[in-house]
Amino acid sequence: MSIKVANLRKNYSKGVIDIKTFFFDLKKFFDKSNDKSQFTALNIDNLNINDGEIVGIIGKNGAGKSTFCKLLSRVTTPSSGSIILEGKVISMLEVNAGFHEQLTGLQNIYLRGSILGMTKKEINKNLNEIIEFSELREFINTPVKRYSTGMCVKLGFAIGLHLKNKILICDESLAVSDEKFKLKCINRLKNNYNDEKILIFVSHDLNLIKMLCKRILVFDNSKIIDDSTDVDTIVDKYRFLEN
Amino acid sequence: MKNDITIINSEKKFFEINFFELMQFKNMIFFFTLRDLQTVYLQTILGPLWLILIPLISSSMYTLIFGVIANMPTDGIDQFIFFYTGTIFFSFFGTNFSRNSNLFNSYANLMKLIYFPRLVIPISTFFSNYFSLSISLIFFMFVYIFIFNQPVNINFLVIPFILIYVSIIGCSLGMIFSCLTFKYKDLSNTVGLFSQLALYISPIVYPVSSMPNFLQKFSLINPIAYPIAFMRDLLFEKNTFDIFFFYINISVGFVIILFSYFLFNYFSKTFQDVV
Repeated sequence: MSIKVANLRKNYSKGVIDIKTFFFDLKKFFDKSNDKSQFTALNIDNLNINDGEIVGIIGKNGAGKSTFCKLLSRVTTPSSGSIILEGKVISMLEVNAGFHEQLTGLQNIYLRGSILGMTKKEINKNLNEIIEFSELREFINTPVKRYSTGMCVKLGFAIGLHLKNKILICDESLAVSDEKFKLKCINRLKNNYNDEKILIFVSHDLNLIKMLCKRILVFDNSKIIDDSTDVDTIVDKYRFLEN
Repeated sequence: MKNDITIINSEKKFFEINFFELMQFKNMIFFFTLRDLQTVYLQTILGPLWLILIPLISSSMYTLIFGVIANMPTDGIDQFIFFYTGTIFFSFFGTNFSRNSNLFNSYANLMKLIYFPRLVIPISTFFSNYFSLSISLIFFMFVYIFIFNQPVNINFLVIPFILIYVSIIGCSLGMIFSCLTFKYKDLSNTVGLFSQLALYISPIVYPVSSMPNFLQKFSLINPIAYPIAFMRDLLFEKNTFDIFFFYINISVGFVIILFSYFLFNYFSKTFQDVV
């Protein structure tokens, strides 16, 4: 699998566009020259990610990391340019997405698993492992609305790690979990990983990035300012970005 | 592992068909339908019993007001069964319309984070509604056959299929309404009003014979008028309309369904940045 990005641009409109009254929209329709200023969130000329790479993405807030992940997971469309993806993308932009509060943990495993593309058979095969990994066996039959945040993240991550993922995108999903669970997830990601998969990991926690990733992309102000496989030097060089 | 190549670019076509992609998401449709059905029972006092009670209560209301007090004509049919029939058939349209009318607002969080063809949601509400409403339909047939002792005909088997069509019309109009309520938030308060409007414009609480001329002409483009009148005719062995106009009405219905399909797909691609 690989990802090829060419001339990718993503603009967002500033201000209260598109959400005013009907008469404002009508006026705007006839007067297209009134285009407000656009904010460029992402501006990448060329990027290639090949099979078998674990890519870490670091950068300040607002640099374009999440926009890049959203574009890769097809949640939003680019303003211009294109991305060519080979293989299925599974994105964990937020581990809790798709959970229905009233249903139990077990029912939510099925629900979220199906949202991420698993069939019922696959979920059944991995069910025990998912429950074991999430450390929630005694709470699996309680409605999710009573879970703490950490428990929700554990459940969501457990489901995500057992997918037959080809390209996996994790966007700061481990921010709220404790150290022990973070290490457990990182180890599992490393073990799951092989020469045919791509893993894209966005995080502000530089230690995790050092442990896991083989290639680092540094985002700043909507561009990629550095791209290297020498993880240690890059992380130290850009540590100032996180301060 | 199969390698599907996906190309993401900025083109936004209006006439785009993604039927094959929908088939890949059939698991999601199944589990969303299951979730809809499961939440009917959770933390409720009567749960599924409401499916039978609500049509009974509203048809009793219509019988009281339109039948007993106003003494409106019902084309010679017994009053309670006339209104009960109308209520059950209209509910296939009404429930689908109201449940599908606010999708972009209620599912905004899910749509911002996960990619799936947005049509999965109306399709799963169609299935879950059809399943629940079938329960009320079966109870209605039970009342019709055993309590009112009306004769049964093999033509009745066509009724579930026409109800599928009526449900899809409800979903389509709901989807068009979703696009509108996303842009203009006040319209979401008017869903109940539009539903009532649809109820009173169509020959549901009055027979076709009582319709004034202008309303009969409007019924040509009212996509639920002819199917419901047709089903009522089947049940009570009447013959109140022209088969030629029925074909025109169904064509109008299909145009509405196609238009809502394209509009919904197009809108779901363009709205995501301004939600």
